[in-house]
Amino acid sequence: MKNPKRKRQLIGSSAALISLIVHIILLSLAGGIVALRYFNKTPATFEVTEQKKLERRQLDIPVQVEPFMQQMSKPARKTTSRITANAPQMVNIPQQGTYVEMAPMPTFKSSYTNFIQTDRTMIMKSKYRETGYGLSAVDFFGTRGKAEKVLLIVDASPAMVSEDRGGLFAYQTLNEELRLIVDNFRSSTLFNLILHDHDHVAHYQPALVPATAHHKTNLLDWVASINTNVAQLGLNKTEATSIIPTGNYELPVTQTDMTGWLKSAQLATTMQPEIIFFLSGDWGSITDPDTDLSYFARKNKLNQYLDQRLETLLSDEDVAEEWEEMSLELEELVPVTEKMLELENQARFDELLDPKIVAYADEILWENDVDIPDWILLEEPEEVGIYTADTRYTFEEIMQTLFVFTMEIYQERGFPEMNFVLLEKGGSSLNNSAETASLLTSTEKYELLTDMLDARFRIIDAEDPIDNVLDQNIYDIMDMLEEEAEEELL
Amino acid sequence: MKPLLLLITLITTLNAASEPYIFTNNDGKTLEDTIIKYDIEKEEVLLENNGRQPLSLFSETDQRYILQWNQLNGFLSTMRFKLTLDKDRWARMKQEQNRTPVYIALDRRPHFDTLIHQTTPLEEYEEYSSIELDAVGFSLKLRNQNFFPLENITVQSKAIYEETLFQTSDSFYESESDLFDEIITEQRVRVREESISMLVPLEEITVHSATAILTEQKLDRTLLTSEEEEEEEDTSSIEGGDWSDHNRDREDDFVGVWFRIGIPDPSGQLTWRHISYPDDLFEELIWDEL
Repeated sequence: MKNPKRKRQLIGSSAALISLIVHIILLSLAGGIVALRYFNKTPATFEVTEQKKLERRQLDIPVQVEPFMQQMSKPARKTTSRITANAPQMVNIPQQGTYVEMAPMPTFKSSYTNFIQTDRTMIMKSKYRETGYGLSAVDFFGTRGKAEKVLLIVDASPAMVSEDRGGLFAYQTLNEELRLIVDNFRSSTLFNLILHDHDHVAHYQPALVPATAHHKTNLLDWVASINTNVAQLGLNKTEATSIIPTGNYELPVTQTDMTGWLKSAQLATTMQPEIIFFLSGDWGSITDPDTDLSYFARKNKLNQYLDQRLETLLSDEDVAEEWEEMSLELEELVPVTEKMLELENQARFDELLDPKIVAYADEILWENDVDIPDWILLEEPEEVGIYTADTRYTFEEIMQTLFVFTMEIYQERGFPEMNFVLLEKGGSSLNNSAETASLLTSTEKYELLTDMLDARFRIIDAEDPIDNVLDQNIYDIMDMLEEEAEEELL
Repeated sequence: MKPLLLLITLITTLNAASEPYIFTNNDGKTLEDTIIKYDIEKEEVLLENNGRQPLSLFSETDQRYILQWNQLNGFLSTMRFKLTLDKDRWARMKQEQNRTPVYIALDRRPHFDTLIHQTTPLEEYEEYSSIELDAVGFSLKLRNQNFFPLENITVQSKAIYEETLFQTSDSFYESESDLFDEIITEQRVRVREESISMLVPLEEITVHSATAILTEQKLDRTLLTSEEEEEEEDTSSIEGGDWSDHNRDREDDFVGVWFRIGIPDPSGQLTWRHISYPDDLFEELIWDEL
């Protein structure tokens, strides 16, 4: 090989030429096929067809055609400051009591006592009623409620007709109001009335009864016979008091210390009303007429305390002497009190007035500005061995008692509605007193109670207080008593 | 140990229900076999050795036995007889107040027998008092998903809680004693029982436990004057002595609730299913000891 480089060049050129020729042939073939296909295809044509026009028909019945906008009768556009474009839709909120109509439908998916809802009120209402026909709207001295099972609890103690509440006339007014309340009950409403006078609690019927004309009349007759005669105030103690079944739950207040509205409430819960209305004069079993301090006493402890207190006082010779003097002075005031009362009643009789209602024995002495000897305070109260705080129940203990005996009965139905009305004494000026500041008065305690129960509370003003006819002087009375004594001797 | 015991009891109960039984037919002929299954639609009983047999073949007593066996079987099935326990609060109330504490002296007036009071506000102190009352209860949903009714169901429940009580009254004088903030704890067990005569297929019924009433109470008396001022002032005995701040509180504790649901087995004895809150409560406690 003389010139190998030249030979390599020739081979490379030949290969490139052959490759080029093959490619040209292939491209020509492909182009030919495509050309043949394209030219054989007939070109697409558009056919134009004449479309028939619909003829307008004449209407058989002439119709007055209004413009579309008028048909819509849209109000004129207004500019408002609202951010949201759409006004909220009106929602039909059922009135209280309307749900009753759908309450007792028996379904398989139901609780044993029919309803499983989160709304406790609904459960409560539905469980109590079969129909909605007995639903009564009650306006009890300004506290309102709507229910089918209503229980009224009224204080019938002599305190309700005390002189500072207007005497017997106060109860007559209450009776008239009660008559209106009871008359408004629908006949299918179940109701009952409980009256209380300290330890004594009496019910109209042992269970709730339909408010028929017969029951309404009987109930009102029963109430109308109470507190009408000064000689026989309060409930008739000879009649048996209602037996209150005690539950299994432990109560802070013992059964013997349970009095008044609390005792009545315990009886009321056993009848299982939906709503309970209370009308009371005082809070507790003991109310100080002077300060309106009111509390439920631990009776045994209180008597024990008073005995031991006296014993403690008398154990000191000096104090014992002081106590003897005070006791003698008070003893001398007993006939004065009796004479004053006798004269006052005589004067009232002459003026055709009811005799005086005595709330506490030495009341007339205070009213006639008689100096009553001061009581002896203990210098070391702990010497008695019992503290005064032990002689009464705290507000919290009363609350717990009410809650426990109620929930023991009501259980899953929740706490029933309770509304309270307090008949306040006329001419009361107890604001800003120590008792009020310390929340010890009847008014303060009821306010706390109703706040806790989320209940309604109303204070109603009593009638005008009855003033004494006579303004008596202790010395005149004492002279009179002396003269009488002398006359007797003669 | 207790869970094992309960498991053994359950197995024993199931075995007892599946034990060989001597069946008698209407002609008085007997047959010893064990029930495997009962078909409520076809009214056929599947026996271990004798296969499917129509119910009508058996005597009336045995028919009742078979149906009772079937009912118990359906009752014990957690799928076909469902139990759901829910905690609820049936009522709740709270009251709190700030007040001036008082010392109330009292006496009985000789010869008149009237009670007289003297209230002395202890203005050096401010008293915060609160009480919260809770009625806690449980609802138990019973759902029968069997194709047959369950009859004569007994539901018993025990709500257990620990109630606390103050040992002394809230007297100012008591506040100096060591017992003032001491509490006594007592266990309370509230029992409730309900009977359900019949639970038809797909019926759901809710029963409730007894309510556990829980109380939380606080008393906090704060001395408003500083110690220096206190030294300067002459605190008389009637004003509660010269002790400073004192407070106390108590809170009831909810332990749990235990439901047991019973149905008569073929021998007439109640067979129980248990459900509790917390879940393991019924495994830790003994029913009869509560």
